[in-house]
Amino acid sequence: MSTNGYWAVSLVLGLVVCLVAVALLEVFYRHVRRIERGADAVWVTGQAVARNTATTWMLGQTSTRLGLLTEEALRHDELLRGATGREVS
Amino acid sequence: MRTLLILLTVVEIVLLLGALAFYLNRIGASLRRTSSLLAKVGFGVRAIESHCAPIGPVVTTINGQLATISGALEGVAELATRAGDGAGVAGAGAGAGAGAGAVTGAGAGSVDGRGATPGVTPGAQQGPDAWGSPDV
Repeated sequence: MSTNGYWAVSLVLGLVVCLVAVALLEVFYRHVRRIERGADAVWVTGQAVARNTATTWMLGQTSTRLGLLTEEALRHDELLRGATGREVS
Repeated sequence: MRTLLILLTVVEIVLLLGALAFYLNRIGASLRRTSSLLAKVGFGVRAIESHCAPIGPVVTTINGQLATISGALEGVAELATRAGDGAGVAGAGAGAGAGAGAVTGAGAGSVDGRGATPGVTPGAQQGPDAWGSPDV
């Protein structure tokens, strides 16, 4: 085979390598796009979770007010025990 | 022939480099968007973590308080029933003569729950209306 023949064969092989590289890059790009869509979905869901948990910091206040309610209930209990002069079993 | 081969070689190299540049550019842009999104997600998760931090200890406290309230209110209901029965008996014995003092005492006792304690508002303690008897 002449030098030009080897050159032509190497060109064909190079073209095949180029096509394979493009195919692999396309597959890689599609995987990357899938990851991007997944991250986008996580971001949207995270926004909803953040909205749903935005008021949980008020639980401390709820506990404080429940403490006041507890004191009031115990005061009622003490008052009624004093009024009836009897103990409830 | 040689010129054609040189031309084809150059075209093939250009095609390979063009394809690599095109795909790597697209992949890089997608990875940059993903990185930005994940950075925002990380920031949001930290905010959610700080928002949800008090849930554990506070819920335990609230459950304890609710148990205390529940225990106290069970006794309160029974004591209120007894107090109502006792007030009805006392009211029947005292008759309508309890008068305005009983009514005034009943009002104070009903409002703040403390005016009816023994010795504080005697009229309310002795009158039939101290605990909201049925005839009021």
